[in-house]
Amino acid sequence: MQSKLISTIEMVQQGNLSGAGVELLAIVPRVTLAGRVVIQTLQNKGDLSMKAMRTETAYLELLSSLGSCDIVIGQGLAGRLGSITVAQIQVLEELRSADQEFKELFKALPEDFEG
Amino acid sequence: MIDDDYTNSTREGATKQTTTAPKRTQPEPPQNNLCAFVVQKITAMKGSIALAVALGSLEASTGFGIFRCQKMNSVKSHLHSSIISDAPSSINDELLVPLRSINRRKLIRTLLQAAIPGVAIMSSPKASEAACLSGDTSTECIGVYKLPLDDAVESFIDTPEHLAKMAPGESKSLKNTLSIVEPESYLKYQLYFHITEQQYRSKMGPTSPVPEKL
Repeated sequence: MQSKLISTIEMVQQGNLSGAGVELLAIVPRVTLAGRVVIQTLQNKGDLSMKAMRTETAYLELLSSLGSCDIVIGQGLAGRLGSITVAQIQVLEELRSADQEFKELFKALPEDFEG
Repeated sequence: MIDDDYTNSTREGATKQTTTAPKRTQPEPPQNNLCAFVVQKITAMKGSIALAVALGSLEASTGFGIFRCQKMNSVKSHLHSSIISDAPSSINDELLVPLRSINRRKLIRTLLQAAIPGVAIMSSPKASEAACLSGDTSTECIGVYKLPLDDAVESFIDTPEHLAKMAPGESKSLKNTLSIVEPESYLKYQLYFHITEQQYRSKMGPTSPVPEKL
């Protein structure tokens, strides 16, 4: 999923905001559903409750960041961000923030845990 | 000659006004040019006149509320006195006429208040693009609010029949939304994020069915 986000960044760099937006639309619900499964699994394990809390926080931050990317791309497509270069810069900033949140989520997940 | 006198007097009036203006005193009316003075006054009172016109139009649009209240009170007192004094019914009918007109005016005002938003809504029948279903990958959904796929919503969109009933005409959303499957376990989640297909098979067994990628 993170690799898809990186491909989205490449699309934005090429100026394909519409393609990046569609890619993001496909990523968000999958992350939502997969993250829900992960958090439920961790919450069911008593000894991993703190990990579950940290994961849930990182998960919510990631969803928020992805939503922000979606909104900024929408504004860029609607021409509310000015020229395409300015829109690209702002979208890339949001996407990199989302990528960072992905990394935070993976850090929060327990290692060698198979559920 | 008359024209020359008029222009001279106007000039005199104008110079008098400019000289007295810094002292902040009321300009005196020119002796022989009352018309110019009236025009100046009206110009100065333009703001007050505009305010009065605005208040008048507002009052007219609200149905002359103050006048109506006074009229209602007088009608009520007349009716009360007539009932007490057992007056003939023809007098009561005469007194009820203004009350009926007031009710009619109130009815028309209510109808207008209800009709204006309705006309405004009906005059622009465009799609509002207010929300999309989560999972809809059409370009119109970029930057639009997505309905979250939580338990409260899931019962409405879990089957094609439910979604067709709740959101008719959303066939594309139906297809895309239902293609997203929740991973059954943490390991399957890992398949999507961390480990490769070979690693998954080595853990679960070489013949284990690999779930469809999200």
